[in-house]
Amino acid sequence: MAEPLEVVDGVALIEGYDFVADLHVLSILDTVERGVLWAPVTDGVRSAAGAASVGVLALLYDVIASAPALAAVRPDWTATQSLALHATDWLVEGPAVVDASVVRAGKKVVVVTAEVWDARGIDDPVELLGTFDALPDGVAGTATRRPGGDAPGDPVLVARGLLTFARLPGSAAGRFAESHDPKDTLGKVQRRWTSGEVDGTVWDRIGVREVDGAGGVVELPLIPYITNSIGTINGGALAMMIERGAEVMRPGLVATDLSIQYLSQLKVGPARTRGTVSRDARDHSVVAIEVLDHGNDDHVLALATVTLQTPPG
Amino acid sequence: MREPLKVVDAPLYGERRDYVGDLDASQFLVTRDRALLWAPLTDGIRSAAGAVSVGVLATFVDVITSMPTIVAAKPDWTATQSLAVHAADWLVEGPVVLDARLVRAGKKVVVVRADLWDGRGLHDVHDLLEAFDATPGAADEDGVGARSDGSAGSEGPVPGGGRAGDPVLAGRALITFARIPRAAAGDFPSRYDPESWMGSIVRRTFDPPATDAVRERIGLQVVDGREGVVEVASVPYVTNSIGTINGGVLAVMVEHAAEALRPGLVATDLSIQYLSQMKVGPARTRATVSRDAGDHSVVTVEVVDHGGDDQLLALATVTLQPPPG
Repeated sequence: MAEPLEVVDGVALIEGYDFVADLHVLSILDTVERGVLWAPVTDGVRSAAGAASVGVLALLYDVIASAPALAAVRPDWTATQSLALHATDWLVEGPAVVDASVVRAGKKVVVVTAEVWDARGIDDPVELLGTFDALPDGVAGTATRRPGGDAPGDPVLVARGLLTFARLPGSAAGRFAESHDPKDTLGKVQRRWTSGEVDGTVWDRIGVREVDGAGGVVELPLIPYITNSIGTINGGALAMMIERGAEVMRPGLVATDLSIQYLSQLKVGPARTRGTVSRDARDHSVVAIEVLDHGNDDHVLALATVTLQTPPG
Repeated sequence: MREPLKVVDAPLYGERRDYVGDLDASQFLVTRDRALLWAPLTDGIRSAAGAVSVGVLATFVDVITSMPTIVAAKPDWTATQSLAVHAADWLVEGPVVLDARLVRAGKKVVVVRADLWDGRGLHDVHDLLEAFDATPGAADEDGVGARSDGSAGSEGPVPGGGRAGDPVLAGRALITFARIPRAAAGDFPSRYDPESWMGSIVRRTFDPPATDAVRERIGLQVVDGREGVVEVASVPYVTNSIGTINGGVLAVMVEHAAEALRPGLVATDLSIQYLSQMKVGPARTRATVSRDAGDHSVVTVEVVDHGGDDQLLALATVTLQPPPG
């Protein structure tokens, strides 16, 4: 019988006011190069397909990827530079598990790949880690693992991802960087968890608002609830608005792939998207999305490409 | 009657033929922030769909975006960090035309985007610029997608011109370059100064022109099609200004690796993250199918330096679709 893992409370930027904690996230830095995160798939994070939204998965990926990345660059800090996530299957059962590994820590860029799994009812950390460790490894642990276990109830691979961080001086995150060493929590389960029930969907809570569906225009206000350690809007929140911007252009389709290049930080707000359809095929569409700082002369914050598909069933 | 533009020979590698030179591209720096490329759509660069190969398109993206990038990054040099191409339509007629615009020149990264066009017989710079600038949303000078009237319009370039014979938007691309010290490229930067060619057409061409398929030119070997394993040896024909394997060659490898896994489908979208430079060679891919959907498949590809302890060189994702017709 495996020993239970120690559970500690994670760092919240503002106690009781953290949109990641409202997703009831548990995570572990399993080795200095690998972080694993899991979160329940509630109705509040499901897209119209009934599966976990790819924007929410991007948010979770961004959160867990930063743990081994920060461990690799310390005392430097990191900022998300690009994020790509490609669905392999629909994540319907949960919990959602993101297994993220540093594949390269360079002088300028840290690259973290991830596999996202539908753990299908497994939520004990020891069992989770054991299950994933038993899966065959590939080069860099990414491309060659087989989607889906063979046995009924085995976790199912639902997405593959690639995320890059730029290295920043530790001073960019101020005191937070000094006090926050991910290695202190190595091997311990971190809980970023708002106690009690959380109301509504994650989109309602972050305040995404549709402005013009045909133009793919949605807005997100700059509020502390979604502000990150360097004082700008969380990259995962931008991913969620990008997903929404693409979906309002193609009602009936669901976003399954996201590729985002982060260019600059939101200074004024609101963040506003606009979209252009690149192609409409029989069962999928590809949409290009720009994110602008609408209150700051429409300065470009991010450029993204979203693939949408017909939902299952 | 307009004056013909001066054509200069890009003083790159001397007489030695190489992969990029054999693509016979013409380049034109329109402003410090914008550059055009056009190249004949020969059979050698077509994929099984009869349209231009997405790996070759990625190569053109890398080539033309580096023009405004090197101007913006000066005195630094640059190395391609990531590249993404998404098809909007099949590029079947030609010439292949790219319109590249600088998006951001940061302290660490330079970001450029490009619209990819089927020029449909147009290969005069003035005609091309006129055709693009007449296309709604395509003529922004002040940044990404911003229209000259300053409105927050949502339409980009309209795929397909309104009139018969107009260029057709065939895809979009985004590329990022890391700044690196100029010394990394030896004396090459002293010969490659895009700003000095402003107003002239830069063309590299060889006689006789290359006619065989790109995969033969670069010596691509399929080692194991079912596992998506293809190889390219490190030979001068495929190396670039900093002495490593050309990023476009890696894109062609990634395309072939993905297509080997899904015969009958054609790669239309490509996204590559370049991680490190090849030291030994050959470059070797390994691929796995991430999804098979009704009308497309998604394949994940790794490229490693096979002779260099399988050091990871690049990670890529490819979307494949059934060919037209």
